[in-house]
Amino acid sequence: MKDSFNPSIEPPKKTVTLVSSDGYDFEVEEEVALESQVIKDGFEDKAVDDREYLLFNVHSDTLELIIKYCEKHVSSRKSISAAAASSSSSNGEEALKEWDEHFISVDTNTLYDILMAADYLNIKSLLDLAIQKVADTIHGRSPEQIRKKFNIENDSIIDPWASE
Amino acid sequence: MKKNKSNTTRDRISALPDDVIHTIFSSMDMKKVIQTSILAKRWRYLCMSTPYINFRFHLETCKKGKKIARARFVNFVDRFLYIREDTNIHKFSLQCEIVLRPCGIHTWLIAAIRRNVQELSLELESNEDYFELPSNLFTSDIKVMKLEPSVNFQFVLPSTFCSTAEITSLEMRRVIHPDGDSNGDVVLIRFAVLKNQIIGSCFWRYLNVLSVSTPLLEMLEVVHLFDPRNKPIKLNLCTPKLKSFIYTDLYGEYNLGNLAAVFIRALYEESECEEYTIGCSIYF
Repeated sequence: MKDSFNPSIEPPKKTVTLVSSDGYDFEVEEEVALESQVIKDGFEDKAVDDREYLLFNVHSDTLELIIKYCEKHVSSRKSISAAAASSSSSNGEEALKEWDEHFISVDTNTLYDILMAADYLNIKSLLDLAIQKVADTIHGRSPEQIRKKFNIENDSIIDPWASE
Repeated sequence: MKKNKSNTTRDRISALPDDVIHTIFSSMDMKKVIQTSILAKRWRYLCMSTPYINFRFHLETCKKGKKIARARFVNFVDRFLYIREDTNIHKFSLQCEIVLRPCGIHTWLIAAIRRNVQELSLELESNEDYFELPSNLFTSDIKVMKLEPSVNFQFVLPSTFCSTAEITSLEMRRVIHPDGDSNGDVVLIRFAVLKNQIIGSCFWRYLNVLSVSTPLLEMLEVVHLFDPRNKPIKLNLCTPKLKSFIYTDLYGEYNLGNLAAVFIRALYEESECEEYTIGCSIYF
């Protein structure tokens, strides 16, 4: 069988270096970095020894989280497809959903950092996750509560609803 | 130790770019979206240019009488579509558990089509037997369409509905199709780029053969084809790219034509949804 070769004779994993806005280097596996559509788009044109990406808009704290997310998604995607191939029942997708839920339960500041980074790097699943979290936060609240939660200053001259 | 960021009291949501805020709006009900316009100056006109529009009306939310609630909802949708900025609509979704007048829905659909809507989803209630969809629905730019009327009534498709070239995903339940030719043969699907299709409890007046000939179709689901004469319907597939085909309670002959490797899962309603899996790949 062609598909099931021994994993021990796989070539060593290729890596990519990501540099955060505050100058920290992160070395990640190629397939983890390719979760970002932006990196994927220009990937083939870059020379193999020059796979370094300067991410001017992503702070190292955020980048750490982003890499954690991508690594988790790459690894669980593999285990889900492996489970499907051997037709054994698995709750891999459920577990991943739970993991996502836990991952995105962060304070609002970190949430924006993740949101902006996911938008900048174009990681669709993460962007959707962060956006859903913000939407859920807005949904159950009155305007005054939303202002408080997100530190929005009401700079309207007249607030027609203020008297209600 | 990295420096601690000292912006815990900054308003960062308002600093997000418009399109990101619009994406946040995409998973919210329009009522909630409009409410954000009073947060601050920055938010006042954001909701007026959002390309994602979801109107939902649930019966449990109306505390006053149904009639007042309906009038308010209709007025709300009308006014929003009227004062909204002249920008394109990406998604228009209407989910309503109360009976609306067809002419009102027509106006909203035409407003959405004129703004080049790409995704359309209709889940409606009616006290009429059927509701005729506007004819330009299937000649517009729509790529994803979901038609799901409530159990009591049916959508009627306009007779020109096969002419569109844009749709990639089409989900129809309880839809009355235009009549076939005099022999009762109906070529249902002639969409050039359609990839996913679900046909559920659809209705033809004169139907002997249902032909699905769509070059790029990958997923087809047929649930309970209905013919009032209770005659067996012959299904004719000409879909070389089909990967998944699921059908439920379909009696009669099946001509699977030049189907390449297909997974067939047959669910017969009479036999209490016993599952039949026929092989893992069938070659014709």
